[in-house]
Formats: sequence, structure tokens, C-alpha cells
Amino acid sequence: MERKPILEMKKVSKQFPGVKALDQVDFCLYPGEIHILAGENGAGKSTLSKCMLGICQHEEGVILYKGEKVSFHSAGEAAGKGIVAVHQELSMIPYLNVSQNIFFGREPTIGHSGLIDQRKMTEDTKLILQELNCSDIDLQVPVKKLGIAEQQMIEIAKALSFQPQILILDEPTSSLTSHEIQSLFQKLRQLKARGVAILYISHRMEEYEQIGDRITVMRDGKRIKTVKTGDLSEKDLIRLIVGRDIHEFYQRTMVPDKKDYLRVIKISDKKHKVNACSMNVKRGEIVGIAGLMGAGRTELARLIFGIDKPSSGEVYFDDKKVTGRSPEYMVKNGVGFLTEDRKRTGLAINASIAWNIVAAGLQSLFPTKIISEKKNTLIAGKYADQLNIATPDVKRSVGELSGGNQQKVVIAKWLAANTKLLIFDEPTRGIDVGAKTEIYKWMDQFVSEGGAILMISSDLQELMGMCDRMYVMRQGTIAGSMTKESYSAAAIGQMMMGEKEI
Amino acid sequence: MKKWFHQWKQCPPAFYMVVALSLFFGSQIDHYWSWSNISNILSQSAPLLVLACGQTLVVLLQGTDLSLGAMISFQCVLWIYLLNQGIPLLVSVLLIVLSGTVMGALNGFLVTRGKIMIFIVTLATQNIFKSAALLLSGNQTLYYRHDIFRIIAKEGPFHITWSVWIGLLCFFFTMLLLRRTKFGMRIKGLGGNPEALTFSGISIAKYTMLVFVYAGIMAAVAGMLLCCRIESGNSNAGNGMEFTSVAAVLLGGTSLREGRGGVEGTIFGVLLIQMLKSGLMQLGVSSIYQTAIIGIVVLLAIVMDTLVKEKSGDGA
Amino acid sequence: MRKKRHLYTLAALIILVIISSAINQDFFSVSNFVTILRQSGILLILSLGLTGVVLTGNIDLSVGSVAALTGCVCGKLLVAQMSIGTSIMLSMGVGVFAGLCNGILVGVLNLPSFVATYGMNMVVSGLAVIVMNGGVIYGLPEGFTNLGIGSIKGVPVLIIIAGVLFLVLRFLYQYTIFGRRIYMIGYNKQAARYSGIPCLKTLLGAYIVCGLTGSLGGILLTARLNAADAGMSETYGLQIVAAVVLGGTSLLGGEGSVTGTVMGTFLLTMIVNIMNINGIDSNWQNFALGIIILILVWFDGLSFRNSLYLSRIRLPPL
Repeated sequence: MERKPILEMKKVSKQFPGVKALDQVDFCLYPGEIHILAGENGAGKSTLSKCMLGICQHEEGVILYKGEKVSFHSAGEAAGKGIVAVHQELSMIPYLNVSQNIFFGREPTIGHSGLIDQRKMTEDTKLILQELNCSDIDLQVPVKKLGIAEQQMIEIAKALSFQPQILILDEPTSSLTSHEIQSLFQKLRQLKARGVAILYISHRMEEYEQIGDRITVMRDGKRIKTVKTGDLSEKDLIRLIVGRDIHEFYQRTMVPDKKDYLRVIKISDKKHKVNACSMNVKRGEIVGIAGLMGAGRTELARLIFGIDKPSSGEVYFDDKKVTGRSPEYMVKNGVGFLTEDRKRTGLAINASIAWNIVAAGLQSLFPTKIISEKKNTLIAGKYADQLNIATPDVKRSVGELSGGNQQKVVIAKWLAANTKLLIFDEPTRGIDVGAKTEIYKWMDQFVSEGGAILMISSDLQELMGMCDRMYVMRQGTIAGSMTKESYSAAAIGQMMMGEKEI
Repeated sequence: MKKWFHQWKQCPPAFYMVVALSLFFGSQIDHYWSWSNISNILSQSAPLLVLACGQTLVVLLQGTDLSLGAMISFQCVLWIYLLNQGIPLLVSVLLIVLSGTVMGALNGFLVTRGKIMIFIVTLATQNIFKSAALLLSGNQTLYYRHDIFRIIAKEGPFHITWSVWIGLLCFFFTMLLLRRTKFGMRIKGLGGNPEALTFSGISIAKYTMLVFVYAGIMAAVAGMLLCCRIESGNSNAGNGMEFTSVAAVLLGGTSLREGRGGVEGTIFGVLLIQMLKSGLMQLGVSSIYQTAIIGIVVLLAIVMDTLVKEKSGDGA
Repeated sequence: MRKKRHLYTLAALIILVIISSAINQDFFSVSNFVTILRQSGILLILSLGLTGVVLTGNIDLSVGSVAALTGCVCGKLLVAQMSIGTSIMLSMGVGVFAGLCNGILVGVLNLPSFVATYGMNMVVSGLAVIVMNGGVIYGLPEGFTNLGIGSIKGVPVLIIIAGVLFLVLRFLYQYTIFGRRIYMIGYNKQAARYSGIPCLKTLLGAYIVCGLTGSLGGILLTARLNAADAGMSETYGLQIVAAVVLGGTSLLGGEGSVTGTVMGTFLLTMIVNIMNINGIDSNWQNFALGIIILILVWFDGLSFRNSLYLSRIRLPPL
């Protein structure tokens, strides 16, 4: 390539307490390319983008932007120079409206009065949203009232409103439907044609080929390789990312039992997010729930687990009807709920690994109601070994672990509680490939030993690979179900979108 | 029409309670609807209104400034003390506002630099301000006679006292500040998603500081309005106002979570509390019952507010 | 994991003893230490119960007024010729009820605890005024006042009660499932709920313990003063919270222990004692106390420099 890179990193290093987040990284970004950054969690992808943006400062090396050495102090400063990011965590302010959010921090004012020119702000917002094909978003309501996908689009709109020359996208599609993803990709291609350089961080391999020009793989803070997309097979890519071979991704062995373990009959909730859903799960079976974001999958799981109270419907365990469900009751009866949001609902992040592992099984593990720290550590150590949790000491805080290991701690928590049925919401979100395979392997083992798993996922491949049966939800109802033999991505997709009944 | 109805539905619960309470008291008390009574209630509300304007900002920040009551007491005492020292009126007013600024800044400094929880900081400064007021007044009530007190508390155009006008001025100023300025946007951002401020390179500490300074200045104004009413300085003058102001803000629909709300509803919360106070007095309820009754009603009101919000599905 | 934060408090305690011994000869004497112990008794009882609530990530600002109301009720009952035992039992009911109310406001209705309990503080102190009808009670039976001023073999009864309470609560919080649940709720309430921990029951338990110790403190305070009046525990309001925080218990919940609270209480009492010895006026004492608490909490905050401070100063997430 003869083109000059718009951004160049030379031997950039960044040290965090305990880890070398970036280790002598060389990196080039050219105008008019979509550059994919791949790697496991903690490989340094996010840190790399944060150094570009000035959210954190690199210690060694130089960053050249348009040939000049730069070092920004905040993302605002970088945005002013044309480097803009859309982050994994949404940066929306819940009770400001769309235009107030998009122009947050740089509101146009009427002359020198200090008052915000709301008319101009609204006009400009309309223009930006029109470009993104989503002008049907209500501009006047607080963004809190909008859906996650809409918020994500506003986030992207906000980034575009800076007229960026470098656009950094960190997992932008995690909450978008395939339809919205396509319209985002179309927009990205337009930007690319205009000469904007795009850095695209994602875990989803199927996206790499669709959108990427080049891929840079990172591992342990180092840049491993930069290749053109298509030059590497998926298998080779995984090997580069993980640093070792993974032969079988999805493993399934057992044939399920005949009897229903869990049976749900026409369950509905009070907020009309779930309407008359029926389903059953047998021992030795992994049952999936597919659906778009907002189709009511998590809400259904919360109903079954007793977090929310249903307005009607029945739940049977082993043919026994259960009434008055609460998480407390369900845990006592061998049901576990592995939630999608580990930090918020899965773990006490500042508590020790040992404490987290025994959290759900306190009563059965300590029948005398008296706890000894020694026994606690012993129990935790056993499960940590069993699940291969990478830590020198279970007394360390969970927060120090990587995402994959944290997820294993949550699994250990449910194992220790003697769980028979596990509701597994997005089991591998934000987890690197290495930990993913381990978790899949564990799931297979769990059901082969007589457990049952109800699995919710947005990753269709994962669902099709792991589940024996699958229910598809749409707008709070079960739109259909299918067994392993009849899986096809197209059919599931149609059911989810409701484009055609099957 | 539909839009109008929609907006009607969005009124804070305090609004309906104000209506209900006024109907109740109106049926029980003679001359409740007389202009002099209404004007009296409004006039009594003025200090709390000003104080609650400042408190609204702190609540948006997900905190409560518990030192504001003691701050008002101190400023009340300080003003009379200064006037007794023969300091000209205008200078003394400026000094009071300055003291409010300093006290607010002290709170802000401790919160932003000491990284101490807001309610702990303000609980401690409450103690400090309160003892300062006691020390300054020598455990006594200070008196001073000045025409300005009577003019502000008892006179004004359209039979509405100057104190009410000043209160409304502060109210509308705060409303404008929150709705139409960058400062307001940032306050809501601070409550809703502080990371968004960091990303934009806006200093969280600076705006946290400004919120406390603003609350301090409002407390200074409120302290002077209160002083005009009671024409004396007493270290207990503002007792409990830190809580009634928080209650007024919460009743007005501002949430302690996520930076929702604004000063618009606060005015109804203030009216509700003041109507209750004066209504009980007029009904002849002995003063020893008042603290408990007002406390219970305010707590109930906050509870009802939370329940309503949870039912409508957008609560905490 | 629980950091050994109470060790900082211990260090502060030791430094304070050394400095004040150097300044004032009266300080370093057996009789003065007994005085300090005696003075710290009530505060210790009040703050030990609060520790459990703070460990759940909540606060109870009504402890002081609960103590006052209980003391007043107890005094009224004693004056009405009721037996000492019955009076104490009945007046303890005040604490249970107040704790229950606080627990319901916070646990069931989801009010932020410092708003709810500050309101309860107002209500309860108002009730105390109503009970006393503006008056004061003197001259309580000797058997009762001995609880506050008597001693067994030279050790004040007050301190024995506080000591036993400390051991009981230490066992409860550190070595039982109930205690572990309190810590887990403090670390992350949602995660605790999703793990099947009965959050409401645990929270109610913590608040009721707090109400009970509040009552106990109030009864002993009445016994010590040989009098009851509605405003008798006003000065304790801030001190109770301060003792817990100085003891290293995090207001965000999850971190801390009753052992720390004991040290925090001694530290605080010693500061008051030093001011008393040096003849400082009570208004100045309060003024100074506010400043000293802020300074100490400030240093406590130093160990948190790395964390995002907004998450420290604001409400904990629901």
C-alpha cells in the first residue's frame, strides 16, 4: 500500500497494576479501511483503543496521528480532532432526550446568552438520524424509555455527529438485530468509501468477513499478526486468538430422559412482556430459547426463577406443581439462574472467590448454620480445581479474575448449591474463545450427569451447536419450537422476526 | 387534548396531594380560602422553596445535603449578629451569601477531594454548622429590628410578599438553569451516567463542587428569608429543614436515582409540607404532636410516591 | 475480601494515647481509662448494632432517637410502679418495632435507607416528645440505676453488658449463615437475591438487631443518668455513625467488622475524654468533633484513591 496511514502506533506499551496491558505494540490504520481487532478478553484490544482516545495514557512509544505525535487527555479532546469511539458500555444519560444526549458537552448556544439553542439541536439530530435510516425514533422522550437497540443506534449517531476521521467501534452489534446490523454495516461501508478509517472490535467471527478489510489479532497485550480477511480460515484464526488448537467447538453426547423435569404451562407476567408461554425441559437435555433482544426471553427466565411474580400460569417440577415461587425456594429445590449480567446479578465482585462459590449453597453446605472459614475455603478449593479456575488462592477477590474465570466462579456457585436445573442466560457473552470451549464442555458434562439446562442466547450458532431442542420467542410469546434435526438458521431467523410462519 | 391529558398525568403526586389537602383544610377551617391565609401560607413557604431549589440539585446528584438546615440556622444567627455589629445592610447580605458559598464549597471540597459519602460529609458539617451557630449566638436568641424584615416578610405587590417573589425568582432561575443551560445538562449527566462526563472530558469534581456551592448560596438566601419572617436569630431556626427540603424534592418527582426529575415538581412538594404545617396549627393540634405527625406524613408521602412509580414501571 | 482496615483505627488509637499522655498527665491513669471505658459503654452498644445494618450497605440514622424514646418509655413505666424486668422488656419492644419499620421502609418499599431512617428519626424523636409531654423524669429505682452506674468486682456493669453484646454479635456476624448473608447483601444485593439468599428477612433481621441494641443503649443511658428526657441522646446521633465508619466498616456495605467498631468507639470516646480533661466547652467540643470525624474519615478515604470516587460518594446500586 502506498497510502499513508492516518494513525500509526510505534512500540506502544501500557502497564496496569499486575499486568502488561500493551506490550510494544506496532499498529497502523489507513484511511478508508475497516480494520478488525480480534483477541480474547484481556488481550489488550480495549486498552489499545483507549490509548488512541486518551482515556488512558500510554507509557512508552509514540502515537502518530496524521503524521504528528499526539497524546490526548480525554475522549472529548480526541473527538475534537476527529477520533471518535462507540463504546461497549453505553454512554447515554438516561433522563436526557435524544438530541440532548447526542450534543452532550457541546450544546449549541444562542449567541453568548449561555442558553441552549434547542431548535438547532433538534434539527441537527433529525438530519443525523435520517442518514442512519432511523428517523422514526421519538426525539422528545428521555432515552431511558427507548429500547437498547435504539440507544445503540443513538450512540452511533452521536459518534457520527463528530464527523470522525477515525471511528472506533467496540462490540457495537451486541444488542442489535440482524436487520439493524445490516443497516449499520451499510453505513460503515459508506463511511469507508468516504475515506474514514474504522477500527472494529468484535468477538463475532461471522462479522469479520462481512465487513472487515484487515484483521489484527492480539494476545496478552501483544500484536500477534495482521492479515487480510479471507487469508485465514476460521480455525486458523481461532488458533491465533487463543494461542492453541481447538478441534471440537461444540460437544454434545447424551440422549435425554423421557420424563419432563420442568414443565411450564401458559405463564404470563404482569407487564405483558411474556404471554402464555408453555415449555418443558427433561433431564439430560439442553433446551435453548432463541429470540431477539426484547422478545421476553430473560423475562420468561425471571418468571420461572421467581424473581418476578407471574399473573397467570403454572410451573411443575417432576410433575409436582410449585406455587409461591421465590429465588430462595427455587435454589433450595435445585434450580439455578446464571444471569447475563455477571457483575450486577451474578457475583459479589469485591468478595472473595471462596465466598462467592458458597453463596447459593449456604444452607446445604453448612447445615448447622455455623460457618467456618476453613471449611469454606476447602469447599471453594474443590470446585475451583474441578472447573479449572485460574487463581493461586480462592481468598482473592473475584474482581481480579478475567471474564471467563468469573463465569466459571458463577458456575461453581451453582454446582456447590447442588443444582439440577440451570437456567443459563447468555452463557458466553463477553468471554474469550478458550473459556467458551471449556464452558461448553462443562455444560455437556453437567447434563450427561442428569442435570438439565435451559439456555438463552443471542448467538444462533451457539444455540444450534449446543441445544437438543429450541424454542423461539417473539414479542413475549413462543413463536415455535424445533428439534436438532430440523435446525436451520434461516428458519429460526424467520420465526424470530415473524416474517413468515412455519 | 390528548397531549394535555398526557402532561396532566405526568404531574408529581405532590400536586394531587396539595389539591386534596387544600380541599380538606378548606372544609375544616373557617376563612381557609381567604386571601390573607393563602398569602400567609405562600409567605411561609418561601424559605423552604428556595432551600429546596438547591436541594434538588444535590438530589439529582444522588445525594442529600443534610447540612442545609444547620446552615440556615447559622446564617440566620450570623445576619442578626452582623447587623447588631453595625454593619451596613447591603454589606451584611453580601457577607451572608459569601458564607453560604464558603459552607457549600466546604461540603463540595470534602466530597470531591476526600471522596467521602455525601450524607456522611453533610451529617458531620451539620454538626459543625450547628455548633458554630450556638457559639456565635451564645446559646441565646439574638434580636435586631430593621424595616427591611417587615417589608420583605409582610409587604409586596398584589398582596404577595416580597419573600414570595424572591422565592419564585430563585425557583424560575433554577428551572432555567436545569432545563436550558449546559450546566443543567451536566448535572443531569452527573446523576444519570457520570462516565459519560469523563468520556467527554468534563470534570466530574468541578460540577459536583458547583452543585454544593449552589445549594449553599440557596441556603443563604433561604436563611435571610427565614430571618425576615422570625425577625430573630436562633440556632434552632432551621431545624429539620434539611429533611423537609429533601422530602419536598422527592415528593416533587425528582428521583434519587439516575438523575430523573427537576425543580418543576419541587414547588408542589414545598406547598404540601407548608400547608400541612400551617393547617395543623390552625386546627389547633398541640405543637408537641407536630414533629411526629409531619414526619409520619412526609414519610408516607415518600412511600406512596415510590409505590406509584414502581407501579407505573419506571421506578427504581 | 475484607481488608484489615480496623488496624488503621488501632494505629490511630495508639498514636492518640501516646500524644495525649504526653500533653496531659491526668490522661494516662487507670482511673481515667476506667472512665473512658465507662463513657464508651453506651456508644459501644449503640454502634455495635448499627454495624450489621451498615454491613448490608444501608444506614440507620434513627438509632439515637430510638434510644431516647425507649429510655423515656422505660422511665414512664418505672415511675408507674412497674417492675424493673417488665419495664425493660416492654420498652425493648420500641426497638423491635422501630427496627421493623426501618426494615420495611428500606427492604419492602425500597426507599434509600438514609432518607427513610432520617425520616424515622424525626418521627421517633417526635414520639419521645409526646411521651414525655415536654417534661423530665427523675428518681428511678436503685436496682435499675445500678445497671448504668454499678459495677461487679470493679468492672462497670455497663462494660460487662457491652462486652457480652460484642461477643454475641461477633459470633452472629462472622460465624453464622445469617452473618454471611448480611455480608453478601452488602457486597451485591442483586447477586445475593439471585443466589437465593432471603434478602428481606436478613435485612429485617439486621434492622431489628439494630433497633434492639438501640433500645438497650437507651435503657442503660436512662439508668446511667438516673433520668429520662426526650432529648437525652441528641449528641449521639452523629457519633454512632462515626464510630462505625471510623472502625473501618464501609458505608457501601460488605467490608468491616464489629471488632473495628469497638476500636472506632474507643477512638471517638477518647477524643471526647481528652477534650473534657482539657476543659473544652461543650459547643466547641461538638464543633471540634465534627471536624475531627471529617479528618479521620478523610484519611480513611485515602486508601481508596484508586477507585472511582463517584461510586463511593453516591447511593449504592439497587
